[in-house]
Amino acid sequence: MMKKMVRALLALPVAAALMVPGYVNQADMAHAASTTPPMVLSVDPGSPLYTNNWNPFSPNARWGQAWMYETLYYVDQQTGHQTPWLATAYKWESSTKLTFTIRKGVKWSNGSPFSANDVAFTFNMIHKYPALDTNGIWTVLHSVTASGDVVTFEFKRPDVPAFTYIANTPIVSEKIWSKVKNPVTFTNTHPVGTGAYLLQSYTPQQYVLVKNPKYWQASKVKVQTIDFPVVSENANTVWMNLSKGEYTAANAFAPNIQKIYLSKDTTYRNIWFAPGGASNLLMNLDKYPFNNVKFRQAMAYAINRPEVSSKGEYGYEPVASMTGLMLPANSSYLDRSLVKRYNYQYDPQKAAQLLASMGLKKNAAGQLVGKNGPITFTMIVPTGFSDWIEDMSIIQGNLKALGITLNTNTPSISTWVNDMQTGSFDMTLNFGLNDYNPYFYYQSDLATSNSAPIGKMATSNYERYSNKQVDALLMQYASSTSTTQQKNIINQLQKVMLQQVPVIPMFYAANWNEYDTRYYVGWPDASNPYATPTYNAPDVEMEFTHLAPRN
Amino acid sequence: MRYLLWRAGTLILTLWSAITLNFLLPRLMPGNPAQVMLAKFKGKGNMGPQAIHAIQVMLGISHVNLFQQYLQYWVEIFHWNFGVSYTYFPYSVTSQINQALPWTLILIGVTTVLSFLIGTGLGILSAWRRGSRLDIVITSIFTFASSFPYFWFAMIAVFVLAFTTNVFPDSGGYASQMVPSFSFPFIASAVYHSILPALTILVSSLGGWQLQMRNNMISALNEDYVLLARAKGLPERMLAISYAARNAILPSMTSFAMSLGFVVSGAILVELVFSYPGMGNLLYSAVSNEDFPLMQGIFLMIVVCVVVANFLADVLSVVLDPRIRRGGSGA
Amino acid sequence: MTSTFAILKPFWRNKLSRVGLIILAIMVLTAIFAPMIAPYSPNNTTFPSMLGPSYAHWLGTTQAGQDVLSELIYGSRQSLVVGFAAGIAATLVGLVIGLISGYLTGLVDDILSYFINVFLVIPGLPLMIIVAAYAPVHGSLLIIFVITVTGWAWGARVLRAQVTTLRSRDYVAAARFAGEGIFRIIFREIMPNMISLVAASFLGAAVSAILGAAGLEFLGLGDPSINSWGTMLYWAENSGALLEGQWAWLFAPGFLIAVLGTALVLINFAVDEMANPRLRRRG
Repeated sequence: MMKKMVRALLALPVAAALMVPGYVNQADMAHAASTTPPMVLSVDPGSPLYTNNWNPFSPNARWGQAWMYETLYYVDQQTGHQTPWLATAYKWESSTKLTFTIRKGVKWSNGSPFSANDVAFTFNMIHKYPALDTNGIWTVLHSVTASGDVVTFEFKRPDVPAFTYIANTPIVSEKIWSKVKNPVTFTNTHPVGTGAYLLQSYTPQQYVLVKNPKYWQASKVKVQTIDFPVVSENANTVWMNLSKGEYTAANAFAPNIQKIYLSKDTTYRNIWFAPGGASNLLMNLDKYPFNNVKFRQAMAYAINRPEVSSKGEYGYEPVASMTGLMLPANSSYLDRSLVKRYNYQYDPQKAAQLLASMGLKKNAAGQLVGKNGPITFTMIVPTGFSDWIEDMSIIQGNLKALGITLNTNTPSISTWVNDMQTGSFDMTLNFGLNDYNPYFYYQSDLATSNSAPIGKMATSNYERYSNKQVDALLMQYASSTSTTQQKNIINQLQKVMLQQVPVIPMFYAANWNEYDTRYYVGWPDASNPYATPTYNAPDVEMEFTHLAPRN
Repeated sequence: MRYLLWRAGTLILTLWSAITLNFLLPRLMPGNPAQVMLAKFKGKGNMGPQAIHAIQVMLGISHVNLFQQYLQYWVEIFHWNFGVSYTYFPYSVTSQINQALPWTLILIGVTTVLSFLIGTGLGILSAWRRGSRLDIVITSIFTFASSFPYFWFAMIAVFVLAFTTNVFPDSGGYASQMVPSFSFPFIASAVYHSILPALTILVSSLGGWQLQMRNNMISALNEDYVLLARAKGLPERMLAISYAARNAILPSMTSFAMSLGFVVSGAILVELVFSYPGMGNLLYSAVSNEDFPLMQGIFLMIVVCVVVANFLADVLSVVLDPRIRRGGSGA
Repeated sequence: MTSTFAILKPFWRNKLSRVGLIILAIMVLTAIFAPMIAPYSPNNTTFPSMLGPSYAHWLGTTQAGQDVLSELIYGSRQSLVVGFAAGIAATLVGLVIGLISGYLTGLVDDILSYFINVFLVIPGLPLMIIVAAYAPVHGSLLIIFVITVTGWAWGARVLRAQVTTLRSRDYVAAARFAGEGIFRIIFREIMPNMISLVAASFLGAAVSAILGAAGLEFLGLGDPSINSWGTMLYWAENSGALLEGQWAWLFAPGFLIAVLGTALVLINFAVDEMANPRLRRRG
């Protein structure tokens, strides 16, 4: 049960998907006056009790703040599709100058009008309090100014992908926040936003949101009230409540969702686990034998990734493309002919051939012998990550068949993180970055600037891949506003992934999502993936302008 | 009196070392919790060095040497300030403990008292009727129940009584739509939610008290003064209650006083299974989130309570049993 | 041979303790002959997952497709070894410190009793969880270590108290006047009079070690890839065994832990009798 929390902690992008559990009393259903009971969402982890924190910049804020604070644009995490939100349009004046035109007629929930000044204020506040700048926007921004309806962002150096972070920043009211002494520790217990919902009541075990009648697109919002019971750390509690049907929707992981949830009500209960970013098998490229590309290719053939996905990950997390692209959302980027040429299917024979071509032979005991004797290394995954532990034992079996001894260990999370950061590991599993734009995935995992020598802290390139050509491509991408050029660059990065195998993408982390259509309809699903159901910013904005009571 | 002074001295020394250990524990741990916390605060993008520094300052991660940190730590303790929690930032450790403590004090406190009273009563009963069928039934049932892994029994109880039959709620401290207050419906709901966890704790803890009392009482029933009283023809019931039990209960009382100290630590596994909002659950959440300030705060609370309870247990036994006063120095 | 029986005699004479001995003997034999008794290998994951009890799988199968009964039989090895090893280690540490501290007076006693007192007030389970959670390596040795560190003080306190009273007995004083060495006195003169107390504290430590190990493993702080009753509970809980109707997977290991604990407590009844002959009359 430890894993789900920690995963969320380490992989914010995936966080929404992996948090578990909750509790709701059936009395809630009964006391509703209208025929449609309030929506009950089991999404906000607060175990054992909530803290009253509605600061949209706080990593520990109540998830409900995502229903109150809005962003300039809605960018779909899966497809990158952009929808104007608090801004009606944006334009790259040059690669270092970006302007947004602000929507007219929007009001804060206390009645005062929303303006371009609020936007400029928000970004300048983040600059003034660096602890708020968790996406590092001000590492590239130079200034943000408002004039009339237009907000202008000037950059220190070209960084086109930074658009996503700017577009996803929650906007707060200047009137209120300019009086806040320290916005970093501010708990904002009376939240005022532009969004679709208002805070109706709060207790440490549950809070209730109610529709904002003054919302600028109020006609699209049909769900009147939403209950957020605290989500328990104990997965079994959540599974029991899911099974009983106490939640309208939840984002819980369950080992057999079919049996626990779906089979109990086949008419109304549904799931859609939208695939997220690829989780990667990392090998320490500074160490023998991983510094040899043939060995890495052999690993890619040797590991039975379909079995890891179906058995270790319960079949919920599909096998990832070796390009690392998030499929199917990123399929427009995929170079099919290239993928055909380098098809890394489970093929122990091919792996054995590759190893033999490196000059490695088996000894009498059946062990593969390298330059320092029999090849043996250690894989680590953190304590409590039960599915990864299962994956590890499958990998162990695969490598044993080739004469390679894989030792396993399950250190604490901080040891694991520390080992990855300082490069004191042989092999491990790690989350990949989950975003519509493959640039982010490649940048975080392959850029030399995110790596560090062994013993020093690396930012995110833990396997310590370094390639001047890749660095140049990433740099080029960041300063390009042309989609064709960007696509071309992604194509070349795919090729590097397939030829060099810097990491082995294993499976796509799933965005867990169970929902009940008895009272509410309009949920995103595989056939209509208009938003990713993570129940967090920014997707809720999109989702709650689509949901409606049945009939 | 000299004995009590000596005990008070040990008390202070024990407190000092427990608090120092508490200070050292997270610092001796491998890995770097500060980095994990940064990972939590980090967005998708890469933070600049300024942001990293600002967050470290905000969380109270300092780079001064160990001795300075130690001095600072003592200053904070005297201000009853345990810093900010990483998990619940910007809320302080104290605020989180305040939120969880009442639940544990009531649930575990009441069950500890009940368990002591019922267990001791059963112990007296089975000692008085020792060798009878009643004694064997009581003793073997509770011996078996006290070997249950708490959490296992709790899981089965939740499944059967809260999920399959819906008799009790499966989690939480009260019905979630209620606002905590001193109103009848709220208290009723809290009591209703505490029955199942309390029952599972009771079932697996009664045995210890029962056995202790039974053994002490059987010894006491064979003491000379009891035998003498019996020879004088005093009724058995009176013998058991006013002679033997009164003396046999002393060691149990001491253990009881000590176990009251441990009440604060909650019942981690049971609270976890029932998602009960108490200290045990909070501590587990601190451990799994690597929230060292919170962990330290809770640990300190527990140690202080146990040490004080221990001291009171000693005082109690001195008051109740004059022999110890004469006995002298040992602890 | 006869002397072995002589030692066992009081255990056999007490009815409760006899039951305990029989249960323990069955468990130990099962552990030793596991490969012959278990229907399958516990590592065989080729069965369909989450089958309910059937003739082929008396207790059904796990999520990963292992036979629960086979896991249970092999798991007894780990649970017995960890329980006994931790029990013995905690008792040994407690014995040595208790004996020395009880026999010697002055500074050595003060320092040792201070350590005993500190470890008595440190909350065991929370400390166990914290140490186990952050240890760089996970496994049975760690669990044994953690349980020993948090569990020795109770035994030490009881043994120390006993030694303090024995120290002033005539025969000890006589030995001292005869010029016997400290260690000789402690181990030759005092120890034999405390055997029952040592046995009781071993049994107590073993029971809490078995329960403690199960708790730690249940939280995932053991090595989840080894086979033991505690890790079975961990996997069963993480796979929603009860909700999926595979109740046997969760019920059986917990039940056996309780039975093993009970067996040890029952054996302790005989020990109590030896220590305190009054318990025997009519008992």
